[in-house]
Amino acid sequence: MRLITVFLALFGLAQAQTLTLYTSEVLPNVNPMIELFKRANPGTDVRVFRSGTGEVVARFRAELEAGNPQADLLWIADETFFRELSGRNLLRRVPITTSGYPVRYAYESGRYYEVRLLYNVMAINTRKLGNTPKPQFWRDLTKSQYRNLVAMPNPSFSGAALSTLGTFSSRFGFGVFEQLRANGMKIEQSNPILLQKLASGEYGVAIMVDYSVREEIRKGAPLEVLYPRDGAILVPTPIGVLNSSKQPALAERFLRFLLSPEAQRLFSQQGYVPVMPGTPLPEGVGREVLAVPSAADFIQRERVSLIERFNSTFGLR
Amino acid sequence: MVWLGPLLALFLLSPLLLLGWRGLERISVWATSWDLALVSLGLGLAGAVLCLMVGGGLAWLAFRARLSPWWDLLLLPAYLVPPFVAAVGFLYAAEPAGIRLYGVGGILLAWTAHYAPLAYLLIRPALEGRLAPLLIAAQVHGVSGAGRIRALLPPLLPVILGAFGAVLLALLGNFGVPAVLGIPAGIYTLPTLAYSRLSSPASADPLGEAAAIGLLLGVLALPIIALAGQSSGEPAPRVLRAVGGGWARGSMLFFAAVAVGLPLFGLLRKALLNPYTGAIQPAFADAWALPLVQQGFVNSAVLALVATVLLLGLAMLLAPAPLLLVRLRKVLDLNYLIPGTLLALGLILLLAPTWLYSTPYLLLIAYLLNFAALALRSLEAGLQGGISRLVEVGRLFGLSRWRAWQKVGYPLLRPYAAAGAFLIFPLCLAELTLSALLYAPGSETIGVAVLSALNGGLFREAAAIGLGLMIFSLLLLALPRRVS
Repeated sequence: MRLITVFLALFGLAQAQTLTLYTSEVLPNVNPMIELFKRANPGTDVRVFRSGTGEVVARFRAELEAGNPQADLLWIADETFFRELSGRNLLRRVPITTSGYPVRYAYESGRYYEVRLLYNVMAINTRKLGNTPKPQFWRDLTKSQYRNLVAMPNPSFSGAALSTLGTFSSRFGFGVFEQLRANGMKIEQSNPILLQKLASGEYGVAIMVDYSVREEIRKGAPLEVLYPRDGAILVPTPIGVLNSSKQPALAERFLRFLLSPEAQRLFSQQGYVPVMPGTPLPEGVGREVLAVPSAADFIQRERVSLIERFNSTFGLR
Repeated sequence: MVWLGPLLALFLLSPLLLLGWRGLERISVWATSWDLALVSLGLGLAGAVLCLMVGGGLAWLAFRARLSPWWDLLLLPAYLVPPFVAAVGFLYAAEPAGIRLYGVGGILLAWTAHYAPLAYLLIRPALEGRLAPLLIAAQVHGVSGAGRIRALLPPLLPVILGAFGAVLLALLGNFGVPAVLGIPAGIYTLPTLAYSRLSSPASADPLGEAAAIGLLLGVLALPIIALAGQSSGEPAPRVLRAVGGGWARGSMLFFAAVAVGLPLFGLLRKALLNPYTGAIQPAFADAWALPLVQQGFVNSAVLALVATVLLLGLAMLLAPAPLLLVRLRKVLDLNYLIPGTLLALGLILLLAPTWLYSTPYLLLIAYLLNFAALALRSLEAGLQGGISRLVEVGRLFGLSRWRAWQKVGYPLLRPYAAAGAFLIFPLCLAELTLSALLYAPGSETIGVAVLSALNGGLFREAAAIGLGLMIFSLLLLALPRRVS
């Protein structure tokens, strides 16, 4: 009997102040942010489901279908899914009270928000590239001097890679992926895995998100972040509160907290570009990043066919 | 009352039945996944042959050399280490040599290291029980060479087939190894494909597609269940002359060094060294600082403990009714033998709309259904040993039925229950196949923590947790137990 009591005590954690966050934000970054939030809001707890954007979307979609959505907050790198949720009236409108917040980052009059910015860039392993000149434009990667050196994450799993897939396809046409395939480009599952393999010298160039590369450089990895001359891709990674949340007030508080000076500073330390003006920028980032927006409309229209075409080009399931 | 039995069976098998039903609706998926059924089967067959050659070969050497059962303990660590942990270890052990273990070769290596001991444990007793008398007869009659093989092989065939079936079944259902070593190389098996479909944003009906893939896996597995064998046999008489002791001992040591030593080295290297500077920088503190790891550790330990206690407790309650126990075990066998992916998908289908979903109770239910057959089987072994009859003797002396069990039956059953606990607890603790599909925020297991760390690029942290799990598994060896 005693065991069962222990079990119930451990698992019966129906605490009133527990938020559930579904996110693609990597664990080493989201955990300290939650710690910061908990310190500012004693007595609260945040439970995290963390995976690639694709898996988070699939899981949340399945829960919606079963009529049993678990998340209070959703924070992933796929703007189109937020549009879909907003269209079905599943997102809660959160009026932003933080002064100075750039209005263009509050989508659909405040149903979901950009809280910091990240970009798809070319990350290079300088040791692996050696004397090969650094690529300047995205399409340089189809040149033979980068044969078998390039990799990107899987768009079914990574929302940022889905941005790359959609933005390249609408700018250059899908053919650029066939050229990259012919040039030996490899697909890794996620950005963090790709980063590890880039750092260990398995690849020379990775089409991936910028923020985590800076952290790895700090640890001693021979890496460099290149912002392509035809524009890095601004990857939308919004956060929104679900209408089905049982803790809407607390969820709103979490969202607003992410815009607070301390949270924005932490974002900056983690390598992201903060959205609030006046926050110091991460090391090695200029005030103006030359960037193009992700092709969200195109991705929303073509999503399934894009992913299917990509999968069959690269032999993914 | 006649309908109560079938009703209970229906209830216990409801996740699998629901999965079959839902899978049939989406059976069109088979058109695009049959090739992976072939890959799964091909990989499984190759792995089973390798395990049989290595495990069976070791069993033959050990049998010929008359090695004492203590030597079996040398093979046990490889079987106790969770296969996905060993897979991570092999991966990192091969790194300094510049070898990428992703793909078919790595999968087969990790499978052989883990499942060859299973083949050994299934074959060695049969060699002792069936082959020894024949071998003596062959010696007496001077039969040798090809004649001896002709005489000895036929009685062994059912055993070899049984071991082959058991290993093949385990390989077909294995999720961890192809998840760690296969997916990054684009090599999918049916369990990893079901997982990948379930987490794909592009599919219109992820759960239905996963169910159809699960059904396909079930169709492959069902005929093999009929083949899978259990170990049986008594130690051979002493008169058998020992041959090739050095070879046998050497081979056993070599296997243990490769199957356990290599992954241990890989995990240690990864967890201890900074990959860029080569300086010693243990990753244990970073790994432990991840909330997922602490949560996973607590959840896994509590789940394993509760599942083990509940299962063996229920089995003990059933012991006075051995006939019922055997019947129930036969029903629950299906939940144990069929690949865990099917049970997990079935449970999602059944329980996603209820409050149980996204709680640890969902995992507990899964563990109970999955491992119940093991608990019942371990007591069955004791009951077959004549404990029921001894209880009857107690009753002849005037004890009530309950007192007789309390005084005679249960004390005698205790070692069998302990053997069951020794089997079930570590399996639950390092479980991955079920929990990878069924976990939710707050109910992560330690296996899920390793997988999440790997997917999140936290390779050194994953190695550190894996190392902890491996050392725990090896500690289990130190538990006192009977060597039979």
